Amino acid sequence: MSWKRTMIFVLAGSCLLLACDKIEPPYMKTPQGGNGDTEVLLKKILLEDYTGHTCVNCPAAAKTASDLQQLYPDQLVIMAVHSGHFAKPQGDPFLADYRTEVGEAWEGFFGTAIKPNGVINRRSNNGNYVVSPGNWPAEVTALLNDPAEIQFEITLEYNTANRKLDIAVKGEFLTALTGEYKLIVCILEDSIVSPQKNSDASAGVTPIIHDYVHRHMLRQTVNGIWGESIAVQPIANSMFETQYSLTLNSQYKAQHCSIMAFVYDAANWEIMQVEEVVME
Amino acid sequence: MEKLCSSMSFYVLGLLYTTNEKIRQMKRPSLLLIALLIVLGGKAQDFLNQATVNGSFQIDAQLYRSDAAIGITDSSIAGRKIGVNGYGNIIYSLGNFKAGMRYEAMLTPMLGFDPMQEGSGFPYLWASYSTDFIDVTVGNFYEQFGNGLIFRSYEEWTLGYDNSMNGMRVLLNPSKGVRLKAVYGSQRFYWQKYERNNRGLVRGVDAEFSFNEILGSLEDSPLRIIVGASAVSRYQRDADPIYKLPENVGSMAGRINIGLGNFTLMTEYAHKINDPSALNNFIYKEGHALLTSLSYAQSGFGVVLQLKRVDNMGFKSDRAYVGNALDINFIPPINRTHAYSLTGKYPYATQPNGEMGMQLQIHYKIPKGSLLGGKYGTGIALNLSQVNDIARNPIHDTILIGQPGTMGYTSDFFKMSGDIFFRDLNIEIDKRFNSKLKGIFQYMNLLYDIATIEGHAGDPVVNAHIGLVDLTYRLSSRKAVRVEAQGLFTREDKGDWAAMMVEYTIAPKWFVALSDQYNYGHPEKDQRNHYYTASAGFTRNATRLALTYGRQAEGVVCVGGVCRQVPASSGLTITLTTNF
Repeated sequence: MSWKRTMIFVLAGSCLLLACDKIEPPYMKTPQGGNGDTEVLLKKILLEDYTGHTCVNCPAAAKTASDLQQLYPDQLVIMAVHSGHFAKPQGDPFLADYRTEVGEAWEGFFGTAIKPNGVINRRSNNGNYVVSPGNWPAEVTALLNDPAEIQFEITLEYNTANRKLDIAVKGEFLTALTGEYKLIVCILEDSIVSPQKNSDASAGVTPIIHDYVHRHMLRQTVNGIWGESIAVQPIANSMFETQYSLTLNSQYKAQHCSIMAFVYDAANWEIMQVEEVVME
Repeated sequence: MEKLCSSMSFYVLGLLYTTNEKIRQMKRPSLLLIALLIVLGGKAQDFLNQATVNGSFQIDAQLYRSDAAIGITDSSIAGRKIGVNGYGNIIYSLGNFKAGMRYEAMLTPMLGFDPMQEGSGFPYLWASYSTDFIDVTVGNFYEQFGNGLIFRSYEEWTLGYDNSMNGMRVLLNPSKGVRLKAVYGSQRFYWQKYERNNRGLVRGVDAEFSFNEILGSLEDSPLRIIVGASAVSRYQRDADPIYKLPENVGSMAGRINIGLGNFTLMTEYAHKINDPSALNNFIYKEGHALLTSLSYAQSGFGVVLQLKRVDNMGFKSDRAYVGNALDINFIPPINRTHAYSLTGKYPYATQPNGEMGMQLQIHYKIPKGSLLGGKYGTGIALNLSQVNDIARNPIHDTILIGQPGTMGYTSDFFKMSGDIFFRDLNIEIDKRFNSKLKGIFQYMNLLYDIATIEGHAGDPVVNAHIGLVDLTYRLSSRKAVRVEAQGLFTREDKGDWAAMMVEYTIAPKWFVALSDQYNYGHPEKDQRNHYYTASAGFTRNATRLALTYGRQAEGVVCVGGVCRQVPASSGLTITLTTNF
């Protein structure tokens, strides 16, 4: 090959330099909001934020989730699952233990030990359920237009005197589906103030945010780790209804609690629909 | 005939490539071999008889047991009593044609490896055809441009790291002293197959010119000059609802190596355009990296001075990912890699978001027969390395340094922050006392910023003194006893450690060893644990079997500045390797 050809190769390669997208400010996109104006009932999205109070990158991930919920308030539901090594009680001031039996089980199953990490609608990509926080915006956005195949509502009755809580979940399969469908009902608590490690100044003070506000924290499920079956091979417009009665744990602040429920495909764990109702 | 063979090789090569994805799904390479034999028909005899096959196998297995004293319970090992990491690497060669595959099985991965590594299959399949002029590879390949500042794909088994490319590579030698490379493809991400837009694509070219080969008049010159340049671009779709993200991120680098007599100067500079990513907290600042090395070497004496500056040079083929995978580039460490357990307890991990470092290495061999050299001579090695943060300034009073969705910060290229990430001053003396006894003596003074290096915000900076003695006494021509004694003294982190090891070797086949690391200075008395092990190994030809029973202390393993956390474990470890 002559020098001429060599230079052609080098010049062709240099064209890669042109494969650059220089972004000029402003760097933020104009918020587009959700798709609430559509006539079609859309599937809601559950973002499970697997986190822990000694995970230094978790406040930034929680902020990403919160920013997304501001963008899509009608479609995005967030659940913060405190689990694994980074959620263990450690030396002062990290004495609290927000782990739950169900959170530990889900962590083991979905492989979220490395934090922060998330699971979005429990969708699997070649067996991998984990979505890193940097991918949450794109993954959530990609699901915004998925039509709902199930709809349901949650109704609550709460007695502040004796903390008795009655939960009713009533819903409908909008289309005929194959397989088995299960329902999981969770109690979430918001605005728990407790120390959190942090390495990102844009998410708060470093290295410890002593008055960190933990949001959407999973406290417990009402009906076990994997919930209970609500339908097998449901036909279109078939209904389901379940009821639960319990005494709200005295550790939870009722005014900050919400009941979140989701229906999933028992064959692949993918969430079909999710709803959340605040208690007060 | 040669043309026939070439075209046949390419036919085979193409078949390998097009069936690549199917093979992944079927996970049955034997079908491929059968297909190849059918295609080759009458040439099957040549295919077998004139070819060479080589490869290697390795199986690492750990059998875990609960050990409450060091915090290992059934729940911490998640009920998985056994972890196995294994691979087999096979390369087939026939003339100018080569093809290879690597099978991996991590069922389940050993503790400390990313859970996403669980799986089995053929993550590495390739075929290549090469002549003096051209080398074409399809399928998976590893490659590096220069020092790797803008492109390096490689595999490191001990880290569970593999960012191999899946695509095509062309290497050209158009004329004497000119080497050109072009690569295109996606990178491996554990077992997740590349699908449109699920991660980025990498495209790159590199050109290197060796002037002593190009210009005949310089062929025997003491002045040696090699110049190289490279460009790499990543394409990844912008699907983010919040930030405007560049879909094509370009980077370029230039390098020069100059040798004159005993001196060698190497330097490479790299630049990357705006690449907001999870790694840099979605800032839009451009990236820079500079690596320089000046060395002098003569018999019995050598000195190396290295300088490095890195600013916002994390470069991954998925901008959203922050873990140990999908790195397009590689920032070489300029710190000594320590082999002993306590000197290697706090290894440095490269900080791609920003670091400024230097390393000075001096080796001197005190001549035989001198007062200090003695009968056999004495080796002295001095090593000093330090890495600081770069200085960062806010771009505006109202914008935090590193605030997402901004330029992030400004940074004076020549200004260093006062924050020291890592410092290692060590001196090693290598002395043979007589025909049977030799020893290595080392002192190390260490500063290690846990908060930065391990990401444990709030943890203290470790200041440690470490000393070791390594004595080997030869009992006979085949038998030797080696004793190591080490001490690590610090008030921070887990406090003081002492370590002892006794190893008995019967060359070339057997060794047995006993060792203990004792964390006698742990601030919490109930954590002052012994990490004892008993190990034995057997080697026969190219096969080696090693067994270790005991405890492994929690720590960090780093190779080339890339690290993984190793949790404490207890049980039996088996390593079997062989190659052919």
